[in-house]
Amino acid sequence: MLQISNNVVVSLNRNGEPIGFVCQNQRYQVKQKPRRWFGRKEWWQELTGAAKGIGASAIELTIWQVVAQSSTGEIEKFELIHDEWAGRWLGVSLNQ
Amino acid sequence: MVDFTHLNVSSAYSGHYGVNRPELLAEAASSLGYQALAVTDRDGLYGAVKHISACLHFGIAPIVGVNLEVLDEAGVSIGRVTLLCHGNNQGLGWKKLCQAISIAHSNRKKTRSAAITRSQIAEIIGEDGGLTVLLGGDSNIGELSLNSRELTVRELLKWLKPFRAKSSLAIEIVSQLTKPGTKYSTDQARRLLNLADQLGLPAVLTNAVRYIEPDDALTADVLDSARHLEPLGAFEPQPNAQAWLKPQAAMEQIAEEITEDRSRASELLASTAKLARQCSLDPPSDCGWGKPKTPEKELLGISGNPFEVLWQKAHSALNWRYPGATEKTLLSAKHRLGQELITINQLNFATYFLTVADVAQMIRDMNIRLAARGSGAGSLVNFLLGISSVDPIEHNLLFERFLSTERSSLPDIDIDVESARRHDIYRSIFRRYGSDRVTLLSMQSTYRGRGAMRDSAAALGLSDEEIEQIAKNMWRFSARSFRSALGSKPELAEFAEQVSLDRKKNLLVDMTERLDRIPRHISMHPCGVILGDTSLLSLTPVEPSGIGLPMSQFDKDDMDPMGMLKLDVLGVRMQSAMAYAVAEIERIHGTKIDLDAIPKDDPATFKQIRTTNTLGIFQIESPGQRELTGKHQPTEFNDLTIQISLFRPGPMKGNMIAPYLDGRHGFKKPEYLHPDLEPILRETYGIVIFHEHVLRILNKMIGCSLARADELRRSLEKPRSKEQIEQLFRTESAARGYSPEVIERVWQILSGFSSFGFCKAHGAAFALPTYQSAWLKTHFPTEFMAGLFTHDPGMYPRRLLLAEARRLGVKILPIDINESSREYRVVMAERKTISPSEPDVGIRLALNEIRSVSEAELERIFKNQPFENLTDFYLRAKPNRRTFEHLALIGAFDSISPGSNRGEILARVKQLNAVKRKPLNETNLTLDFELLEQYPDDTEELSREEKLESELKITKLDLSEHLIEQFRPMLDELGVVRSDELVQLRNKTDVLVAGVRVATQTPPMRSGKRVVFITLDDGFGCSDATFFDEAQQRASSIMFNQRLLLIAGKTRRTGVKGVSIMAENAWDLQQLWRNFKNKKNPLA
Repeated sequence: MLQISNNVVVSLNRNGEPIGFVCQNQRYQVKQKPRRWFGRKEWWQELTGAAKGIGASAIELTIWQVVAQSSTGEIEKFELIHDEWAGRWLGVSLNQ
Repeated sequence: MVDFTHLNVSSAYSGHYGVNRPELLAEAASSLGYQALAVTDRDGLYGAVKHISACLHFGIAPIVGVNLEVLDEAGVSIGRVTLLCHGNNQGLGWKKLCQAISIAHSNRKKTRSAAITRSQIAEIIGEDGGLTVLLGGDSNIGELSLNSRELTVRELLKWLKPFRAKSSLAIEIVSQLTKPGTKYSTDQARRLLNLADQLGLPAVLTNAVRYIEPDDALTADVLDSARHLEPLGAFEPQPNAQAWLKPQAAMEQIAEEITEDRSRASELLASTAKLARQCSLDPPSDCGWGKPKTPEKELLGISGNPFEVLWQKAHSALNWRYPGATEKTLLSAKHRLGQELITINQLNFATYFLTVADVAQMIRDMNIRLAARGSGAGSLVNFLLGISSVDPIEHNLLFERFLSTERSSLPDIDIDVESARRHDIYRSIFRRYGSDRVTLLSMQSTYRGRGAMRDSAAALGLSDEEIEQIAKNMWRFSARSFRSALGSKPELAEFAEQVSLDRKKNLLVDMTERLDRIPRHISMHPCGVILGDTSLLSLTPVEPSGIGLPMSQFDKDDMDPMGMLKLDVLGVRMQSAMAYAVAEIERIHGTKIDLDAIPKDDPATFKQIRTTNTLGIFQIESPGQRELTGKHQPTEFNDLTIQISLFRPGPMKGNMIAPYLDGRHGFKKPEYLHPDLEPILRETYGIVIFHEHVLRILNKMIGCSLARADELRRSLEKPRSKEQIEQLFRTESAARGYSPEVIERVWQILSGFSSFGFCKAHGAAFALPTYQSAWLKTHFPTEFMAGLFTHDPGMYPRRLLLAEARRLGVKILPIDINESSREYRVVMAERKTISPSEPDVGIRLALNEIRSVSEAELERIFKNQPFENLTDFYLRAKPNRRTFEHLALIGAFDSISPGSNRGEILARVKQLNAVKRKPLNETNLTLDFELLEQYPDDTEELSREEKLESELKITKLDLSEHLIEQFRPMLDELGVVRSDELVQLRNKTDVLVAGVRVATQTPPMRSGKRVVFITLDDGFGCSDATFFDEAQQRASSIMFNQRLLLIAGKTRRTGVKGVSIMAENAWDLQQLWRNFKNKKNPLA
């Protein structure tokens, strides 16, 4: 089942890659080099303006697929979705 | 590391796909340090020439390709590929690129959109190559690679099979870092790269660029919506904002991410660089860049040296153009001719002139009126070759403004012809020079305010009504200034309020601004024809135009760089209207009139112009020109040239009108600054108006040639070179003995002149049809008005022509089912009075004025005319129910229904309409109808209002009386002034005027503030009202959308015959009428 958590707190390395995060009061450590891609938002549903120079973050989301170990030792797969515009991280647990 | 080059880039010329114009792309690439850049637009080379120009400007190598849809052997789409043309092969690659595109468009007949078959591509590439096909994410290979490796290989082999030349195919590797397993993901790129390696195909890295910066991705979303014709959210959008022109470092990173192997990444970048080198163009040898191309001289019937032929032709025409001239005149003409010919010879343009002359002669042989326009009228050679009909010597026009050795670009010669015959001329040009040497010119229309708002609003899912509501109040501004217009334009105040409250509306404003000036669609240029040699179709791709003839994908700005000869054959309705009038005069009176030969000093014609009733007269019928006519009071041909030139954005912004009029009317003594300048500026009372003035002043004061002077004048418009010119001017004129005061004052004028002036030759070329149409209006008003009705050349609605005809005393004969035809024919009309001023001719209104009548019905009517009675008409013309009623309502049957009023005729028509047309045998039918051949006689006549309403609804014309007359009781009670009475009133009299809006203008003003001019017609002429800021605020709700208006204001005398109204407020006349009828004070 997909579990979506708002307000995930993520710590990044110097290259901007996630190395650990806290989700649902659980602390996780990223175990492998994460995979990253870019997705998008339906900005026309939320933006109040779209003047030139607003920046790609108004439309784009950065998504990190990570394999992480919780403090209890379990290995889990997550998608960490960074919405830079909203200044927010979302965590999606990909475990069944 | 090798240099990376973007080989797949869509510019804004990829319709509704790419975001940025080529100039900006090249600039961005150059500032990113790239050495080369490709533009590979969808379906054509629409932006290619601009791209090459920009690359040359920024010093990077241009690469050009196209993105085309491909069909397999069965005609099924197998996605899109990019074709890149190889360079430095003497145009081989460019030619094949053009061929591929032209074929893709010629397939449109079958495929609806442009598409080319795989085998057609292979055939074009042939043995000797010249093109590389990039197979990437948009092709079926890309699609298949996401699912099945086996199927992809099988399909790739199909691609490989037909191609024989080396390096015809390459695999395009793109990662836009999308979700793994989807198009343009790193996964997909990796799979495609492996496949390329497996099959030994070269692979190249691109970013399938759609925009310069990530920020532009929002614009791309809106363009996608416009392309899909669906609102955002209703279609699969672009995956993210990664399709931007990434810098080299980012592309190298992507290469590494795909390959996960440094050396493989380097290989990929190296093979990309290799293809980029192969595709770098050498514009002169590959595209014929800058080399003038004209039809082969044999086609013009010339053997031997073209210049000698031109010399001969021009000299032998001297007697034709200057019959009975004095020795002195001839000598000066010969002298000037010699100088012009020397320049033409130096530039090697003899063939060009002969070509244009050949086309002009062809047009004349077709018995079509023509006139030159633009600076070309300044050439004696053009006058002698019959290209222009204005004598440049008589009118003091300069050749150097048109052509000089200081510039080597092909000059523009524009020819105005009868609009109704324009397509005939095009076809004849194609026939005469062959379709391998001729194409039509295209043009790209770009997003402006309204269009951009409409498409953005549709993307946001606004309703049609909402969109209409906003569009209605958008009045002439560019898309990018939408937001600033919200704050400054009263009619947008309501929308501005919505914008501040409604998120979507606010978004709409930003999105609209983003679309500013992006090309929307291509269409046929209204007048351009490209004439070349047999290489033409190897240099430009063509596609079918609206009229079936092939059209180049290049626009007018592409002509000069491509060395292409563009001939502007502009259809001018006025020329058609005049030709019609002349033909009617000959048909009715048997008098043959040669308009080009009438004396240009007819006092009656100028008297008619001075009344300011200039409606229908070429160039001087607009409200502003009419006002200027009142102030100016022209008395000779040169006055018309000056007046036409003055009322242009340049001279208006340059504030030239008032000082000129002051001089002319003796309010101020003309100042010539120096006796040397008096001969130059005498015609304009010391005011520098014409480009020609500047040329002569520079020539006189610094002693440079006129050709050089024109170069200086052009440079004056550029702030950067101005300083240098000032230096030169001051030094040289001082050296020639002019005093510092004179130099200072003249420089102030020249410096302020910059782009404000106008080319006198252009003004003079326009003045000719102005004079000719005024002459016709003066001496043959009925025939002239018939021409105007038939060809509708003006800026006003047709019903205003009707009002003007009435005012002129022209007899208007109503639409009659037996007498009316397709045209507004002039017919003999019985005189009802013995007054000699009553004309014995009238205009019979045309039947096609009825809006609902179909072409088939018209044909049946004309075939079966005349009709005996209504039944006869019903049986033989077989009108549909609506047409039948409409004809009755406007009185078309009055003449075949003697003794019946219109109400009775209508009742009878309804009766007939009620009878079902059963498939009975003819005799039976006729009998039935004979029995019914009785008109109901107890029906009331239609009221005045009913008649008028029907007429307007059915023909848009107020046939029985002027539209405004229905309000007469109220207008009389309010004391509304008739437009023809205004001229008798004192300055600053408070007045009310009423009428039908016939024009609304917001011309550019020197102050930058907007002024709105509204012209009303009340059947007695026109009244012009000016709305400044406050009045615009007061009347904001009706400013741009009500038709029947009452305006309050003060008279303002502008000249002997000129009076306009300074508006204070305005109302909707119909609203007032409702109040009036309810016995309320309408203005309360």
